[in-house]
Amino acid sequence: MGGFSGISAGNGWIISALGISVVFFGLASLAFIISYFPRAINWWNDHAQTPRHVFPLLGGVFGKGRRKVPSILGEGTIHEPGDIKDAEEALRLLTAHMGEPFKLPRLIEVAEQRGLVRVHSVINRLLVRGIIVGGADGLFRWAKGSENEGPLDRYNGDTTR
Amino acid sequence: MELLLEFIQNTGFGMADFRHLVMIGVGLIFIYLGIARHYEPLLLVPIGFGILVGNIPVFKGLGLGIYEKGSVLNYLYFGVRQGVYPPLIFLGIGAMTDFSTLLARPKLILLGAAAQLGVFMTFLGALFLGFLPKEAASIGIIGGADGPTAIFLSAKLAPHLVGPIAIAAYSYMALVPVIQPPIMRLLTNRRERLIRMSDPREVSPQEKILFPIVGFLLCCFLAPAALPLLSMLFFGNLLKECLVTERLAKTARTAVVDTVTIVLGLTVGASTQADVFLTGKSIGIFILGACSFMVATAGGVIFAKVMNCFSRDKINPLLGAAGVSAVPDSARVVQMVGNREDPSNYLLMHAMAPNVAGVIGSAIAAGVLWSFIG
Repeated sequence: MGGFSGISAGNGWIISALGISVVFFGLASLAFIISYFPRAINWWNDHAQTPRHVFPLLGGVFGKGRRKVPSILGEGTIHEPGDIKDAEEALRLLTAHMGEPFKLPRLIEVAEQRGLVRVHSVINRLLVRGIIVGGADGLFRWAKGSENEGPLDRYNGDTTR
Repeated sequence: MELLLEFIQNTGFGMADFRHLVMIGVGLIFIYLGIARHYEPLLLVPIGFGILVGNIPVFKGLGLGIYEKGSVLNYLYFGVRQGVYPPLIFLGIGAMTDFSTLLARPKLILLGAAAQLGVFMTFLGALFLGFLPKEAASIGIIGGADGPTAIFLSAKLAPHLVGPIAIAAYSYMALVPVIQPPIMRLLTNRRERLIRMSDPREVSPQEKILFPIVGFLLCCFLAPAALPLLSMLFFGNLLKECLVTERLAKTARTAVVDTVTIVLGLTVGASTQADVFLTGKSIGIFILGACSFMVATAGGVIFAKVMNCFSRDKINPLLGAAGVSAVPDSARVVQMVGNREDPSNYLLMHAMAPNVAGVIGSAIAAGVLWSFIG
């Protein structure tokens, strides 16, 4: 059976109308939700930094890690070793994925994508201290034995600025 | 002497008839288009060679043909019959695709939805021509311009038509640069083709990670039948964007997708045995397939023009043609047509948004058809 009666017999009109509506609704909803991504992410980032103002009850949980730094250092100081230690550990994890030896620009790019701050500065300090060393091939690697050395020992004398 | 004559009669030369020769000719054309013209070579070369493989006349019962149980080709064809290969291709596509332009300008997603008009109009056309509803749905999805989706749906609804539908879908995908430009030019004026798109905003890594998760949940809650395709598409994209599974993403977009493309192309080609393929239905499928591509292109372009009536920020209506999900060919065609009017107008990046939205749209359309008719 063909013709318009074939379409009616196969519920063609209804299926087509519903089908195109579902596709439109699905993709329009997706577009709508996507358009709010930047706002949602900004909101999350803002409030994750000051959770106590927004979530008084959950503030303790959110703020736990963040309050730790000032409590150790006191007011008006920035604890360099802690930052660098964390950054070094993060970079070691990244290079474990990338493999050694690695290209510095690639490491910087990946680290920035992963949200590490002041990557150039951190890597510069690691280079100055010989924790990351360059090879004749233009590639870089971690200095042998540097992973066993305590980061706090390494940064002694440069704890505050 | 008698033995020699018997041997000759039992060779391919003795058993071949004109239908085999016609199909071998089709296979050679595919290989030629792939190699000499660079029309989708990664698909047309395996499919073309598969057509040659499938049309060597062989003894029935020896376990050689693709439709004979226990044959090597039949085992490989299992992945097509059961819809295993298309989701794996989608995994690779997801791991290759950058959704940044889509995230930067979400309203272009609607063009990907509009182009799915081709699917449902062709479905109606197939019913009009007397195809059964399951066959009509399988033919309609050719308008999605997505080979794996077309194979997936026809394997589920009309397995006997997988060969012609796959060949029609891939042929027309390869012919996108021929089919689309006249329709695009017909439906737009020069002023519209000259519209420049503003630069998209920068998209953060968090957005890129969030998108496959949110997209998957939303689309699959809406059309659960699209789960096998969309889950793999979004999963592949999450592997790519989360950066911590780079090795898996690399495997998905290289080794996995390449292996599956080879096997899929070869077996789909081999499934076009002359006696199964050269039928009246196949001709109907090819005619409807061409119409579906045209309607899909027109749907996208016209919808873009309609959007311009309501939007202050005008979009180049040529982008609508990229809503058919032949990635990235239709986006390239948009760039080509736009470039012909203004060589300094770069539309490729913008066209990728409706293009990848079309992939999602056609998978949803397939899911909807399967759940209504399956």
